[in-house]
Amino acid sequence: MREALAPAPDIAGLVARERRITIIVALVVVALVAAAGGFAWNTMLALDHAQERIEVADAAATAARRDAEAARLGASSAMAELQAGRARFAEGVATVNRAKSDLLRATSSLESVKSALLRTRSVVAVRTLERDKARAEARELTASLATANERIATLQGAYATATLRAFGGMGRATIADIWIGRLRADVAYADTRLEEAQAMVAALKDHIGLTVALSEHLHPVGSADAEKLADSSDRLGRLLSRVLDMRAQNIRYSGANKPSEGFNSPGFTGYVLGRVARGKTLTSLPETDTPQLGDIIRYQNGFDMFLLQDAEGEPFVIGMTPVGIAALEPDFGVPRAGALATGIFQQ
Amino acid sequence: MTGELFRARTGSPIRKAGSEPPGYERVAGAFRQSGQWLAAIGFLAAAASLVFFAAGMSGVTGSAWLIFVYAAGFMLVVSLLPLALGYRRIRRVAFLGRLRDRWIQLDRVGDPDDQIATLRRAYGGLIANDVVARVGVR
Repeated sequence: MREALAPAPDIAGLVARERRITIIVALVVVALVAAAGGFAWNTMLALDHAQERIEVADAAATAARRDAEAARLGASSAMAELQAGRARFAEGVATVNRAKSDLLRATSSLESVKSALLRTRSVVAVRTLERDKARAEARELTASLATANERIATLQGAYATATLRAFGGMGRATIADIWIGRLRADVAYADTRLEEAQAMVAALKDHIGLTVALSEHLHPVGSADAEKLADSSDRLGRLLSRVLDMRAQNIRYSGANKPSEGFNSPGFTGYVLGRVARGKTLTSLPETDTPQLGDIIRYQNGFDMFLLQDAEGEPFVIGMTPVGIAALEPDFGVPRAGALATGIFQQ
Repeated sequence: MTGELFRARTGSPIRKAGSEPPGYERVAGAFRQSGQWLAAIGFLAAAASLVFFAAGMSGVTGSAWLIFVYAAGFMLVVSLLPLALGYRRIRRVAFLGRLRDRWIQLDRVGDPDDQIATLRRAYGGLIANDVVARVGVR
């Protein structure tokens, strides 16, 4: 009976079920393999793509860093140029300040020239005062000479008295001899002093005479004459201007022939000639019998003077004299010894 | 409803000595074939797992090697399902073989304790996927 109750096995259902299970499992496994492989493959591709983008981004970042470095270098260069520009601006400001100071100095120099011109105009008055002072000194020396003569007479009287006393006694002879010797020495000293005083008086007389003689023939000359003279000849105007400038500098009479110490008359004339006419010297100039403006007139006392004319057309000579640079009338009492043609007026 | 099953259910007096369970060859063949296919699918999945692992570790996938290793692990886990199912079918085939031998042995001796009926229920439960019937037999 139990066999009759046993269920009938469904073998066909078993076979079909096993097939379904096998197929489903196979499909599931294949699908999972494909899904896993596809996911991994896509992930790999995505990572590769991301890696490429990272490399591109790195390259872009490197380029950006290079650009930034270049920009920094450019900024540094611009800053350096800005500093250099500021330095040049400061130099320009300093140059402008120096130019201003030069202008101020030039203005002060102009004022100095004006004051020197004023001093030059007063030189004639100063020379007149010196002449009066020299005359007073001559009078004093004349009085001293009279006093010395009186003393000589006194000493001669004393000498006679002593001679008479020498005859008075032998005991007093020695004393008298001593006195005589002393008196003789005094007489010799007095004679020497007398000779020196006479020589000084003679020199002073000569100086006074020369000063008086020159002062009587002084010819007033100024910058207006030089400007007028420049209208006819620029070189003559520059010659007179240079001589007047040297007179304003109070250059003295000296045999040194140097601007710092002084000149004698030919030395002064040669110096001025060399400044105005380059390459010419006194020894290279020809003599002439008809001197013209700018020529040199030689006098027998050794003076060499330039012949010029003032604004009114009056001729005069100017050059170095023992009393300084003076403008005189052409015939100031000393005979002429000749004339040298400079050719300045023709040039 | 095959004729063999009809005979077994009806308890036909015509019983051949040493007969085997009805439809044994078809049932065992179905389990055997199913087990072979499932095992093949499992080995195929395991092979795919090895391929993923080898590709990930060899470095040809670049920075995606870890993903391939994860895929290999996943496929290895997935391969366990068909392998387990196939193993179960093969075990069932072996069980069917022992059941058949016992069935034949009892049938030869005339089934004195009526044990073939128990074997019949177990055989029917195995075919019907009846766990209770199978466990009762074991």
